[in-house]
Amino acid sequence: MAGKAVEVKLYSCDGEDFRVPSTVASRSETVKNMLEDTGEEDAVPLPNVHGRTLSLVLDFCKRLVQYEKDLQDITEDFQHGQLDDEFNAWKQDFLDIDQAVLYELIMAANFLNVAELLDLCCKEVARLIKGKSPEEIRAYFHIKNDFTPQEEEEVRRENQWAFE
Amino acid sequence: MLKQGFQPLWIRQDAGHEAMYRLPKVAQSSGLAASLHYRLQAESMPQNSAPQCLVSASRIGPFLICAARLAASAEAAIQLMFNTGDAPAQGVNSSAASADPASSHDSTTAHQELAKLHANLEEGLVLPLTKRCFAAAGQRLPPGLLGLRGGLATQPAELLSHILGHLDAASLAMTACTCSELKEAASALHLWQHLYDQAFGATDLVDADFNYKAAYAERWVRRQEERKARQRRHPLYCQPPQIPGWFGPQVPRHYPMPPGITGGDYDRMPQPFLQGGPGMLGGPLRQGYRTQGQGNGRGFGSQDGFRMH
Repeated sequence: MAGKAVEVKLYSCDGEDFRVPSTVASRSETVKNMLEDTGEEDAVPLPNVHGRTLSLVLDFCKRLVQYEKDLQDITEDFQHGQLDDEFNAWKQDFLDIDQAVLYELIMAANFLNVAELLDLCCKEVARLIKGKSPEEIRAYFHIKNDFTPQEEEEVRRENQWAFE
Repeated sequence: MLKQGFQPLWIRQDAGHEAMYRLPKVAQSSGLAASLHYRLQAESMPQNSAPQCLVSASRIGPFLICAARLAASAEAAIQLMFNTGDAPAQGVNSSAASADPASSHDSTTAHQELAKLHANLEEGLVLPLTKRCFAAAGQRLPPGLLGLRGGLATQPAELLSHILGHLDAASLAMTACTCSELKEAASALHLWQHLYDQAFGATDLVDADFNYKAAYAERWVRRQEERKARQRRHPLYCQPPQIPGWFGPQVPRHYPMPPGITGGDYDRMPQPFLQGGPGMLGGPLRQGYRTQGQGNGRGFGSQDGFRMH
């Protein structure tokens, strides 16, 4: 398969260009469809994605492709767990980012349709929410409380069971 | 700018909506330079103390230079330089920004150029300016403004439900208590249906407007009450299993056994009731074995074999 050697050019909205192998680029369903439509030598403009976000997404795709390749190469069962551990540790490092960047990453993963990345980021946000009280969630995610006191009391009463 | 709550100052209060976006005459007439006054209008700020800021844009050849500063302070202006002919080069807070040599791409169209320009303007100019305005007014940055596209509540609905789908019931209920938008999102039927089915088993209710959230809360409360009541009745049953420690009380265990069996190695010997043999104690039985080994043809352990010795 000659797919490995082919490089694709991706343009982010701020004019940065990224050259990646087409195996990496086609982890994104959106880019894959575009490539199928236009042919692989073309450059793909991505007007919704900022350069720094795109570089993160591509990092993830590269690591994912490498992980899947490693999975095919292994011969012993115990290596499977080892690879998993390595990949999970890498993900932990990868997710050590600012909250705003995390949101941008989610939006980009949604637009580019990278299911694994979207899942990973959403899980991370869910992990951040878990185990917090409403006040803590508000403070952490900069959410404005727009309830009137009556509404607030009502919603508290509705969800009283969760506070116990 | 308008999205962030800036109010253009040149609009009179009595002007209609059509006048909203009409530029002042200065900006229209001179193509070279335009300066616009804005006032940040936030609900937390009183009208008169709201910081004013000045945005000026000028064109020199192919370059568009934007500068923004607060009207009241002498801080250095935030400057941004675009090469309107092509890809924008930006230099924030520096008077001399270097423009990249024009590199034209076939695939980029004028529309994308405009989108780029807008994104850069938003990133480089409006956000820092807003931050400065709030700092000048001595107020904290309002929530949800830290990233222009950030904020949990401002996520599109499908992404939000994707995120909330990873939560457990208690966290989901907590999230619903934070703000009205999240309450809406966290009360979605499919989320609670999934949780309900997981916790209490799938219902065969066909009723479309079955309120899974309320049902979940009700069953949850009932289950907790039952658990508490059981604990009150039988405190021991509900204690977590204890690992027997070295010094722990050694409770002798009683295994119910059929009568006549003592346990231990004796039970592994041939049972007396098989052929009416002797008791379970070693002596006679060993005799029995011997008699059998001598080949007298009688059943081992029989009374006769015992007598022959």
